[in-house]
Amino acid sequence: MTTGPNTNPLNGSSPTPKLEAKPRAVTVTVNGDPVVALVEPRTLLVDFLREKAQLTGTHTGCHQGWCGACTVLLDGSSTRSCLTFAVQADSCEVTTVEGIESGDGQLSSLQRALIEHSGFQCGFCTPGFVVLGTEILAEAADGATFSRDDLQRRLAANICRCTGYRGILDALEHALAEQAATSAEVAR
Amino acid sequence: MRPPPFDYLEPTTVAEACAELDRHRDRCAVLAGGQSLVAQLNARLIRPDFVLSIARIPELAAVEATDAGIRIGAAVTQREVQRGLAGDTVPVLREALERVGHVPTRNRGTVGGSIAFADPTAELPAVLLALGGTVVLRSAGGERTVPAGEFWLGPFRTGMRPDELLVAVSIPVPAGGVWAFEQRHFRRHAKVSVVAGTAGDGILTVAAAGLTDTAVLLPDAAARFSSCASPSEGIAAVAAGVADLVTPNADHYGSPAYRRRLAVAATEAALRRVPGLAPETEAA
Repeated sequence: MTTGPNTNPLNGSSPTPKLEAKPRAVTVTVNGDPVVALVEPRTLLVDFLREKAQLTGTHTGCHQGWCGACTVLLDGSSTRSCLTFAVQADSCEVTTVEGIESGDGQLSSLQRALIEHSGFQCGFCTPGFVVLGTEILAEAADGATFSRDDLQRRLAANICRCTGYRGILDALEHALAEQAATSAEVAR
Repeated sequence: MRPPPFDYLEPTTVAEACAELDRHRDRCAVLAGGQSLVAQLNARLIRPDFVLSIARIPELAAVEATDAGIRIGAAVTQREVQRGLAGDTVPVLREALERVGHVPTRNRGTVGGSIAFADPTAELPAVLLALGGTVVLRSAGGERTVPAGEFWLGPFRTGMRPDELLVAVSIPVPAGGVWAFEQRHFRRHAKVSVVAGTAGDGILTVAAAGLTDTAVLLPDAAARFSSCASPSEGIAAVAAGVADLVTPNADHYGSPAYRRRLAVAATEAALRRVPGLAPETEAA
């Protein structure tokens, strides 16, 4: 996350002319559908998603990993898509905010809870928080437990400058409780 | 910003990777998790002609228990270390990793990458230094093992040659070793991290990061502690020693005086958690 000072020998050290970077074909399964595209190696995953997969729900903010607006699930784990190249995601599965709702367009419990608890205002950070919270819900479904402090630390990964986080936190707690109640119901 | 153009290399064996590094030397950057490298590329602070990914080299993806301790392959993510064998074996590593970025960056970022990046405020170098860890480097010419104490040369500088690849980080796990990690910070900037404990031999060791150009050991930690009449005086003496390691390097996150206070607070908190050192009155 930290960006070092400009003392790296890699900086402009090359006397030879720049090589033409060869575009490569990559296949990324995005929300269940394979997306095939020719990309330069330097293409960020977030740009691949927005421009090649044409899914603009994933927002691009700081390009430094600070803000988390670009967070997606890469093979199930939350990932900064601005700090990942599309070539690194070749043959991987990506879930974006567009893939969180169910097939018939029904919002997830977390998405509904974010609305009920006023968990967003301008909405810029919301896709990242939805993805971040979805990972937490998946971990909880696997047996992990989270205190409000734990959740607060987890949500600190992303930046929201409107809501002060309380609504997001309340929404996530609500969704977790709902999920726990549903699984208890199923177990019975 | 987006990165400048580069050619992408994706070897599947360490030998292939070393051959590429030998060919391209300092025109090539090694990509593990990318949580620092891609940020640097996005800001165009570096402009390598080649980026060599180690993610598809199976040999680098393993954590192994060895006779001496554990060996963490260069492509193993910080999150895997936290949740798996390495975290179970070296709990202080798990504790320190809680402070490294956030879950989304730890899902991609590697332990080896953090060691090689040599950020002077990074947590993991302090852990490696305190526990007497080593860095395993491979090149076309062979393999060498560098003790943590000799690996970092300055901020973002290591003793790695451009043809060398960091293949693993090894951490000894002696019986009876007890370690505590504490960090004090200002909004996660001006971070001071302290690792304190005993390696099973009962000798107090204290390492810290965020004080100067690299992670550092307090050379006379044990002597400082034992020369005092009471544990609480000993803890204060060691904390004062750690504060004296701060080099005058003020930035907009904190003055040297502020960093000294962070150093004292972090050191005292860490030492109080080391069994056998805590003042009687505070023992729970």
